[in-house]
Amino acid sequence: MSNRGLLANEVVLLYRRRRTWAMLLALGAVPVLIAVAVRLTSGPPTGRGPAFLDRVAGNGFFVAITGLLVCIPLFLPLTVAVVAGDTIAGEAGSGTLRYLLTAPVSRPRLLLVKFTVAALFCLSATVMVAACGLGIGSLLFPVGPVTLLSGTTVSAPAALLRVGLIALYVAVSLIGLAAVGLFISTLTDVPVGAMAAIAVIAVAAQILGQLPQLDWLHPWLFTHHWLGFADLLRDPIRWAEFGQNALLQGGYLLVFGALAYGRFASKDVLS
Amino acid sequence: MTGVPESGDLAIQTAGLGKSFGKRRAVNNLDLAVPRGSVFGFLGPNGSGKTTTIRMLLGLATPSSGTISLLSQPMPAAAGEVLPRVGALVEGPAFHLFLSGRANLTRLDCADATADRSTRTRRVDAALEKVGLGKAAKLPVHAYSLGMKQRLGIANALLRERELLVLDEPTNGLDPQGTREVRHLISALATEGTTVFVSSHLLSEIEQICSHVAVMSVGNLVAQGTLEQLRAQGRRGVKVATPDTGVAMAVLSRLGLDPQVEPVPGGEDGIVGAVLGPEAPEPEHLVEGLVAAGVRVRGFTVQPASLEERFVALTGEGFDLVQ
Amino acid sequence: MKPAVLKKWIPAVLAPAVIAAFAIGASIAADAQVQLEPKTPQQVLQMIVDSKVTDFSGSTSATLDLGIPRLPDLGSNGTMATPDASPGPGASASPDSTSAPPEAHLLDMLAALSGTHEAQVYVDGPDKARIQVLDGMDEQNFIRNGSSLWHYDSSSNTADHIVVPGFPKKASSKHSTMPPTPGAMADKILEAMGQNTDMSVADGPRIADRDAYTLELVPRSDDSLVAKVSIGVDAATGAPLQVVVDAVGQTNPAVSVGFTSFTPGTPAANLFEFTPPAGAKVNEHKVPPRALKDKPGHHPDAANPGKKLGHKPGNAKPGKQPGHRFDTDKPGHKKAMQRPDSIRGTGWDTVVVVPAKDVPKEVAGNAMLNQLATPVEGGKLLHTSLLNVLLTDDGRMVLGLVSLARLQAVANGK
Ligand SMILES: Nc1ncnc2c1ncn2[C@@H]1O[C@H](COP(=O)(O)OP(=O)(O)O)[C@@H](O)[C@H]1O
Ligand SMILES: [Mg+2]
Repeated sequence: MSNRGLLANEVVLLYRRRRTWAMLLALGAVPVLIAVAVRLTSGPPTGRGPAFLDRVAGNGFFVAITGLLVCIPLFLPLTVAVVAGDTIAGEAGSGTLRYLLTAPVSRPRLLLVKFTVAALFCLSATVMVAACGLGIGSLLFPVGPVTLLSGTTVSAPAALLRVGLIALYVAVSLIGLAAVGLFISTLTDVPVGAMAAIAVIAVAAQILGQLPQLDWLHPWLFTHHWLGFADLLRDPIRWAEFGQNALLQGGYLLVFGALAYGRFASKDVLS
Repeated sequence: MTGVPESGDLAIQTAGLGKSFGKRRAVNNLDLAVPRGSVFGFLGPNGSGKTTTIRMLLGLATPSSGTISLLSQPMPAAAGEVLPRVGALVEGPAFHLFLSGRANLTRLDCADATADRSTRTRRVDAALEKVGLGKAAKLPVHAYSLGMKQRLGIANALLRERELLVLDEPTNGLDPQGTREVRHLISALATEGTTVFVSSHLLSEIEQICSHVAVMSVGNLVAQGTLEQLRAQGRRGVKVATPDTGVAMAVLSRLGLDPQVEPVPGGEDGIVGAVLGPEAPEPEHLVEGLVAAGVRVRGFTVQPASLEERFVALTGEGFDLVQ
Repeated sequence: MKPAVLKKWIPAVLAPAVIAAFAIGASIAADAQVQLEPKTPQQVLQMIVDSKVTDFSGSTSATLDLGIPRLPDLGSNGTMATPDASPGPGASASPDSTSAPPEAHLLDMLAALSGTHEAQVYVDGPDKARIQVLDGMDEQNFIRNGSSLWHYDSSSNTADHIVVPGFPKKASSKHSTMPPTPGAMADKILEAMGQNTDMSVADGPRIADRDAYTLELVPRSDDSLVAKVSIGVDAATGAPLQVVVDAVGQTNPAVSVGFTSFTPGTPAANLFEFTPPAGAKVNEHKVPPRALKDKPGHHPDAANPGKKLGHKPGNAKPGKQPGHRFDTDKPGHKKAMQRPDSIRGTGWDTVVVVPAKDVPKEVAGNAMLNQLATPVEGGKLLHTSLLNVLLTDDGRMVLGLVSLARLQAVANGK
């Protein structure tokens, strides 16, 4: 039978939570803060700070891009950890899991629905950052044709498309973490524990990615392509990174989805 | 026990059902037989394994041993087919607190992929009405009292027409009025033909509505049958009022009983009580023996077999749970 | 556990297995080439010479591993794809990096360059080319269209422009105009080979997803630090696709430059038309007469890896200007090149001796060099896996792609 009823319900549930909106608003505040800070300190660019920051004053589009860049290492993974950690552990912790399962929902179906909701949150989060960035950017700074990394200039609508692509790229980048989170969430009945574990894993993966001694491992880390969205700002667009990233995240989804299934399908629901 | 119904007539049947948590055996070799159409009381003190059994029946926990057939289908293999026909309340209610009672029920109904979407609103409202939550339907659950949550849990079990209701301690947290209402509700459902499997640690709460009873003690099924069968197994007791408690004790012990002195506040007479086992002498012989030994018998009562006594005899009394 | 429970874990076991199978299968498929018609080294060389691929696009990857210790203060500058690896223009063109002595600068750069660098290459005939060096969140663009040369650095948003009159004619000898394509490196190595090299054709793996011959050159010398040079040649077109230099006593290649994807065919014409973006700082450069004379390919510089590296795409440091090449600007070095008597030996064993008066003061007195150099008999040794530099006690600098023993022998006048 269709998943639609439950899925629609879960999506509504996600967006009815105050917690969800608190996180989305916090994410949206990042580009706003960047824009305001740049606006207030209207000196010449110092060259310090994240990439693209020195372009913000010249073009509002870069508020969105800088905002995403700043959110990638920590803020986005944290929010995804909260949502993904809550998927199963949250239901188990509040006891609602036993009522869902006796409703009945088959366990694979519940996993699928919960993962879909987590993935949707990934997209909401990146779109939120991009949208807030574009909004505040167009308010505080001029918006117009954008100079790409290759020196080519594209029109504003084309630039908008690229910002959308970047948001999509970052959302896809977070799929692997969401899958890992889904699995961890099946391991415990304490949602906060799952959330913390996922956040730690996201940070640890980035640290491992910095150690040159482990360079054999790097291509296999789900964080490996997190900052690769620069390839969408080149001319011509390099899709290779996008594809490799999607493939890697898909691999994580497959492996950790299967692990989550193994764990959850054989788990005694005792909460 | 006699007259075990055929399996086709059984709503629940387990064979050798067991569950261990590590080395600890929570449920041991359970052979339940719950006839269709019955109101089946599942009795046992706290920690005797009732909830664990119910979790296995509903496919929440995998049995360590044994088999389960629910509505004639194997569990947990046929969970998807069977569970829509089963309403359940397991170990108290649990809901999302920030959602209203109605939203919570709607969510659980959405979860059941076999539930009819077009009648959802009507069914949810009807279930809320049935448990008396019609007025509180829009309130978020965190504004509910424990009793209201319990009712909401029961409403969830009533979202659809069910062939079987599995209710784990449904009167927990309810006031006497609420307890009575739940009892009426169960009776009414039973008259409509729904099988009700209801667990409790208090015999008195469900004694009046049950047709069948099973008694759990430390993970073991110690009795199972109709109310009459269980009552018939009960043992009578005698009480002797006398100032000579010591002698009376000695006499009764000699006659093969296990007498106990019951303290009586502020009187010179003591009370010596004893339970009459199946091989015990008839009460008149007891009186005869007491009088012959010079015990001043000032009162002698024979108490008929009661379910309560039977329950206590089977499960032990007081708080010292046998682990 | 019961079998029913174990069954639920089957997907969890299968998923990684399937992925591993796919990964292995894909790499086998990528490596497995159809049985190529056997060729002699001469025939493969001829293929390169006859190659008519003048238009192509592709992705290249360059890896440098010279066994240089990483200096702590270089770490953040050299790694890519770190959150802060893309500092603004001020950090990348920091003033102290330009005022530092050139040799320190060289070591800086070699250390920073170690690792893998990627570039996108588009070539349309001998006089149109574009190289995009992908540098984390930044990009360096080198665009040549006829006599016009552009460099665009996204991190500083600056563009440099040079018009080289007469450039097209001179550059019509293949591969010599731009930071090297693999073909340029292949040519140089072939030029330098001479008589003292064992050549063979090996059954190499596929390169850039294409069937390829691998031409292996093994120096016939006991003193050379070069263990082997492998040149991957596209079986279909004869275009060199990859150059790998193995150093003696090092498992990883010291230098590896190659295509990861290669598509013959004319790239879109607009790729070679560069208009500096609005707001970019544009520097127009005059062509110094010396630059024409010193053009790559005119030096006997194959024996000098530092020289070669100077033209590698990945070598252009963010903020550096093209034409400002650290090694050509070194007076001592250049003079040494121009004086045949300072070159000892031939082929792989070539050693360059820089007389004491030509060695810049910064080299001898440089703190970082002293830190890196190890005292040896007769002086101090700067060692990389491909190049040895001996700073003799009497102030001379002796260098080559050879063992220390040979440098010492040369220094002692043998
Ligand atoms: N999750 C669990 N882990 C370990 N032991 C448990 C768990 N759940 C229940 N038990 C044990 O199983 C026994 C039966 O518990 P339960 O079925 O909840 O009893 P009841 O519902 O009859 O009060 C108890 O001894 C309890 O300690
Ligand atoms: Mg219980």
